[in-house]
Amino acid sequence: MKTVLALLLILLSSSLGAAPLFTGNEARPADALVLFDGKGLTEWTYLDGKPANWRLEGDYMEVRGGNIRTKREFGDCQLHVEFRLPSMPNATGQAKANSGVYLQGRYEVQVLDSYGLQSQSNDCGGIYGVAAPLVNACRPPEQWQAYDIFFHAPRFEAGKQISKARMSVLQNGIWIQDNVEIPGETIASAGGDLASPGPILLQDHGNPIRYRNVWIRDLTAEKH
Amino acid sequence: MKGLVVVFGLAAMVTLSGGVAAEPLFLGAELTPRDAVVLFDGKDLSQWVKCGTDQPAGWKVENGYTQVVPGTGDICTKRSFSDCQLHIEFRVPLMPEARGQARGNSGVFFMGWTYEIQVLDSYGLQPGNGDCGAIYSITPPMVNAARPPEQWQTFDMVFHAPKFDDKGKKTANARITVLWNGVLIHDDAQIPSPTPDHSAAEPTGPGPIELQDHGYLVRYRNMWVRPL
Repeated sequence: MKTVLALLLILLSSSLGAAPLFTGNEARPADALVLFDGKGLTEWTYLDGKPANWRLEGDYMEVRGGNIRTKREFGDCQLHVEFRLPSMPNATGQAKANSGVYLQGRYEVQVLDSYGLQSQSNDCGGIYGVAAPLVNACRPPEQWQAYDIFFHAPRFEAGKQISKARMSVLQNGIWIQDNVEIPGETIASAGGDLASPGPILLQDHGNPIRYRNVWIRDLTAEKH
Repeated sequence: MKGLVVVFGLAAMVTLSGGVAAEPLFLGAELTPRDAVVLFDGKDLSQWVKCGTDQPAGWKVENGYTQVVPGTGDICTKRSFSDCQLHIEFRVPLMPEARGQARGNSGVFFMGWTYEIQVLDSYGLQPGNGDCGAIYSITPPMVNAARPPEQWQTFDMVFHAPKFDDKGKKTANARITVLWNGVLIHDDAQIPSPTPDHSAAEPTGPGPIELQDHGYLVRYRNMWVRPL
């Protein structure tokens, strides 16, 4: 009987098909978890656990009062995030519209105004201190830009690390990081057990960076 | 004198490169980066030929897209590519009575007729390795990220050609990452053999991007490629 039921279930599921990710021409797939759509910061807190209080306006949030992190934690994932840098024509280097997007709170993709520069690993699109972007795919300041990040958490077996974290990144649709192995946590990591999931973290580095349209897809169940 | 020329040459190089400057890929909010080779911008098929010939591509161009003219054959880029990032937009027709491979079939190939990403109306199906987004007959997409037929859809693909040693022995498989409508469906996936004919020899040099005429009225638009 149990077998018959199982067979019936299999037959049913194969005839039912897959729930579509899109019903028309919308941009965000239905299996995405929305982290920020302009309506509020309910998915976010400051690092001390207090409610996130970044400035909200229109469809964006702007850095205010410290780093924020998602309440939820993630392993392998696809992350979409859009950001906009202020124009700071007199600032240079790391002082020019600095922020960052951290995967698991530990691995940073740098956010910075690096427009027109030969990018280093601490420039925009760099995996901070680890890998410069393949090309400088920045838009000018005050333009909205996008990261699409495919992240693989490090793997552990019986307490031993068997693989490192890996990441691919598109900036504004351009391939800038090609499945790069990340030897360890990047600078200013929020820490924690590397074998455990971690939050998405957005950095307050003292500059008024804006973020919008942040969503994530859990890839932990996918085959790799 | 020669020394002086060298010094001036070096100075000029340093000045020209600015030491730290890079040519921007974007000037504002535009979507196509400036280092892209535009394969089709809606105007004509001047970058394409009928595959295996030097005859003009036989597909029709109208309203900013090109559409398969059944029987005119696959079309191939004039230029050849190996490692590259390819952006392509496609639209499959509504064929509600058709099933399986008969439902708006086409395909995008790398390195000539070698490595295929399937184009098909697979909307709502549990995707198999013959469905839209599959590395044809090898790997199904991680998820079915189809839009309904008659909607424009996108593929953003990063392809790495297989590598060979001096003796022609393969040392690394071809690899591909694919976003379908912005959703990751292949993540640096290995392609162990050519997709249409698994026993075929693999190309050791670059080849064209190829779009398949499978007899269905599939449309393509806004295609560009960045050699990597």
